Amino acid sequence: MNQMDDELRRTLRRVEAPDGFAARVRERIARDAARTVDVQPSRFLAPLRLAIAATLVAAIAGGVWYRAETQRRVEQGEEARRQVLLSLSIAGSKLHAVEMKVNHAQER
Amino acid sequence: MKLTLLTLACALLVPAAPFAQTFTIPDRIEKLSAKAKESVNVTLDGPLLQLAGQFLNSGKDNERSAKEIVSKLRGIHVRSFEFAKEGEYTEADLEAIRSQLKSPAWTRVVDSREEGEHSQIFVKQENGMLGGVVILAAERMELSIVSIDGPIDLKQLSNLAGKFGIPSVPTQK
Repeated sequence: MNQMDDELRRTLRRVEAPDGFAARVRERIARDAARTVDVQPSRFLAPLRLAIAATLVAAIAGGVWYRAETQRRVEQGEEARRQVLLSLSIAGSKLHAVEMKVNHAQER
Repeated sequence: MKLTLLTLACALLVPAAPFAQTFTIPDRIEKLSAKAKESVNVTLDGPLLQLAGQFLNSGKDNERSAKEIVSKLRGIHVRSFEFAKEGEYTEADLEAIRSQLKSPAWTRVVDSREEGEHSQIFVKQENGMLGGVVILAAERMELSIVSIDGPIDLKQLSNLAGKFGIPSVPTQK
């Protein structure tokens, strides 16, 4: 039993750390911390967020522009249609009137 | 022989300009709108005419005819003026129009005068077909100029009178 106690005491005895151990540990902790900062995602996240925001703004602006352009084209088309109908109606009317006059003159 | 060759060369070099087929509304006519009580000013060329064609409804009888006519045209120009009193336009104004509508490109097919009204219809031939029409209708207090550029069927056009909500012009009997 005593032999076992001695063996345990010997194994678990206090041993002093080698010289500079604490300094090396501190240095390593500092180095690891610095490496962690290097791979922090926030460095890439900011431009990514900006790109996403810019894409969204561009998409919304494009949509608004497309809608306005479609509306403008519809209005322009409707106005052109109205003008065509007016023109053809005036032309047809004048032509018809002349036709009637000529026919009337021939009858006389 | 030399003279024949020279004549042939000159004939080939003569520009087509003096026989220009295009008709433009003279500036002095445009200025009449300032004197008019009411005026209609329509200018529809190429792309706008095609756009109008897309918006004409083939489902409606009247618009189907209009669409058919418009699909072949290159341009439509209408100037119509209604004046408050007589003498607002002169013979010189009309002459500015007639001077462009000369043979061989243009042929006057109708010339009708009746109690202060003078109507003329000019047509141009293109590849043996009707390639355009100009209608000039001058009354004491009204003046209408319609220029249609492109293949057109006059009967089809005449049938459109009184349609689209615009009444046919009444004639004296």
